[in-house]
This record gives sequence, C-alpha cells and structure tokens, in this order.
Amino acid sequence: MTAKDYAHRWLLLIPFLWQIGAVPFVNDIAWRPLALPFPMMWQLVGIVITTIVIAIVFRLDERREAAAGEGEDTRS
Amino acid sequence: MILAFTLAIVLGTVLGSILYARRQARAKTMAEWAVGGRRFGILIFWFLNAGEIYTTFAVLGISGFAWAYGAPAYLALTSVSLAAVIGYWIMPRIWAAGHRDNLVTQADFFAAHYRATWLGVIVGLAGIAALIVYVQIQITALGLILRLTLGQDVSPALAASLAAVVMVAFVFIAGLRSAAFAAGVKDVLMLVVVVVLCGGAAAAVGASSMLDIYTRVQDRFPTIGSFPGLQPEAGLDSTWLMTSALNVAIGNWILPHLFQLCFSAGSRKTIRRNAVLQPIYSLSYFFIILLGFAALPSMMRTPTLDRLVPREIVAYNEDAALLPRMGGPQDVANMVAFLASDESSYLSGQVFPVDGGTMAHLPTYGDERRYLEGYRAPLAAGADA
Repeated sequence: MTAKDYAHRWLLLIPFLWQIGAVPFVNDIAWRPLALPFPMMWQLVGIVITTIVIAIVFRLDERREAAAGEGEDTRS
Repeated sequence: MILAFTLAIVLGTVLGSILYARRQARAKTMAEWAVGGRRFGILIFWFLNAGEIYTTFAVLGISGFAWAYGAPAYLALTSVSLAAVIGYWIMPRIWAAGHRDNLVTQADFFAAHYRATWLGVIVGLAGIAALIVYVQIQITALGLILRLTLGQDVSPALAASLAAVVMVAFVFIAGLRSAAFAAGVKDVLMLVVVVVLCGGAAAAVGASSMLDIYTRVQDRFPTIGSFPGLQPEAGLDSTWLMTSALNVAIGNWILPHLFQLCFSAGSRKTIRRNAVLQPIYSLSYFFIILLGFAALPSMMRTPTLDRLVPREIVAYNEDAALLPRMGGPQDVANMVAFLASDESSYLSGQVFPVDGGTMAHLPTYGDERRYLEGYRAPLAAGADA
C-alpha cells in the first residue's frame, strides 16, 4: 500500500471543517429549523455527516485492503 | 417506592452482568477481567464505549451547562463525533499493538512501544492523577443520586463514601465484560428516562411539545441559542468552542480508560465499525440540552412544580438563588404590575430577571459552594489522618 492509496482519508477533514471551521459563519443565522437554534441544528447535522464520512472511508479502506490482500494484523 | 425501584434495577443489573460474565468467561485471567479476553464484537464494544462517554456528567453536567450558559453546551455535540474521526485512525493502531504484545493498560503500551519501563511508569502515574478528578465528579454525582433515593437524612459525606464503595466493589468483582453488560442496561434505561423527563418537563412548563420548549426559551432568552450564549462575560464565544472542540477530540484518546478499551475489541473491523456508529449516540444530547433549557422558564414555585418535580430537585434550585427562598407567581405579578403602572413610564426596552439573583451569579452560588466543599473535603480528611 502506498500513501496514494490512502488519499481518500483526507475526507476525514470534512467533520472538522463542518463542526469546528464553520462555527463562526453559522452562528448568527436567525432561521430556526424545527424551532431549534440554527447553530445547534448545524451541530446535530454535523454528527450525522460525520457518521456518513467515516462510513465512506471505512468502505473504501476495506475495499482497497481486500484488493491488496492485506491481513488483519497490519498497522493503520 | 423509589428505594424499591432503585434497588430492583441496581441488583438486577449487577446480578445479570455477573452471571453474563461467568457464562462467557473461559478462564479467570487478568486479560479476561481487564480487557474481556480481547474478543468483543461490535454490539458489546459499542455499548461499552457509549457507557464510557455517557457518564453521570453527561446527564447532569451538560444539562447544567445548557441551563447556565446556553449555546456553549453545544461543545457536547462535537465531542463524540470528532473523537470518533481521530479514533478511526488511531484506535486500530492501539488495538494492533495490544494484540501483538498482549497489553492490558495504557502504561503497558508506552513501556512496550518505546521499550522504556520508566515511560510506562510515568504514563501510569499521570493516568491515575488525571482520573482522580474524573472519579471525583462521578462520586459526587452518584452520591447525589443516592441521597435522592435514600432521603436527605443521609449526609453528603456518607452518600459519597457509599457511592465510592459501590463503585469499587463492582469493578473488582465484575471485570470489563460485566461493565459492558451494565453499560448496555444503563444506556437503554437512561435514554428512556431522559425522553420521559423531557416530556414531563414540557408539560411542567406548559409547552405543547418538546420542540415548543426551544421556541419558548429562545423567545424569552434571545441570546441563548448562539455564541457567546447567556453569559457573554464568561468568554465562551465561537473561538472558545472551536479550540475546546479540537482539544476534546484530540485529548479524548489520552484518557487511560478510553485508550485501554481499544484492547478489548475482537478485530480491527470491529473498531472501525464502531467509529462509524459511535457519533450517532451523541444525537441523544439533544434531549439533555433540552432538559437544561426547560429548567429556565420554570423556576417559580407553583402547585404544578411541587406536584411534578421531586422535593430534592426543588431544594437544589432554591439553593441556587442568592435570596433564601424560591420565587412564586406573586413575585412575577409584582413586576408585571409595576411595568404596567405609571411608575415605570420612563423605562424603555429593559430586561428585568425576576429570579432572586440566580442568574447574577453563574456558576450558581450553590454550585460554587459545593465545588469548593468538594475540594476542601479531601484536604480536611488528609489533615485528620
């Protein structure tokens, strides 16, 4: 496995950009979806986004490692 | 009634978890006790991790934070998901080392990985020091729960001692597999209790639904939902959230108990699957934050409050006010009468909290006093010895 095969792991930055990076930009939005404060709704959606992103990376990891024929006890 | 109910749940869980561990355990070894024989599947591993995250602090601390500060409580919504992202990358590495070298503790890992026993000793000591504060919070909260169950005759010191004994005994007898069983029972039970509490809280403050609580509280406290929240002078702004969220996510895996949990997983796939599913659990903080918000519009002594809210919790709120009594409808009525009268004709656009000084002192005077007492008690005990 080369570093290039793990390029999809950069996707793992998305949760940080969503839940941390975007905080100042969504803070003053007055819209209340489902009566919730917008910044709170933003974080709740962020939790779901995080699960989806990790699931995608997991799928890609498993597929690539199966293709490369790697065993269970390798690192990473 | 409360006592019988509590006893039934506690004894049932303890018995169930010990029996479950007995049936599963193939040998009474150290590895079986501490890391469940390294055979945990996704379900039990998920519940175990959720149990570590969903502590008494999660229930009482987050709702208290939401009540006192508002938006800054969203920190809880970032903690589990971002820790899972880092965990997806770091947990399999910890697990693989544990599997290869038969590691049981965090200190073992550092001693083995860097081939330095002294480093293992330092990590072990640092871990113990870090967990003292953590355990203190748990004992304080468990003591409070014991006092709610057994009554106010039990002194706080006795309740805390009982809590400590119960905790230590369970850990020693049960081992990790039993802890996982108990975590499963607790997770399901707590979720049910919190949802029921939210429904009750909505009814108690006269809201038509759970979401209506959010509408009401935002109408009454317009600054509650965004940073810096209810107490701008506390400095809990967006920058605070961003740095704290990063700090919590990275720091999460330094905590010895979360680090060591990785050793108990049966395979790398289990660990990765868990990282995918773990964030979902933190959606339940929606209810916890709601509980804290619901407490804001309901701080007056009314017949409904006395009927629906346990005496001990009312006493807790009464203690939070600077004035030595809880406000009632008359206090609000006086304010309304004043504002409606000609005497207030030169006032415009002001907000007057009628709360006996509760919001003027955050953390509340009562919380701060208890916090300081918590620190003095061990010192005093040390002086006696």
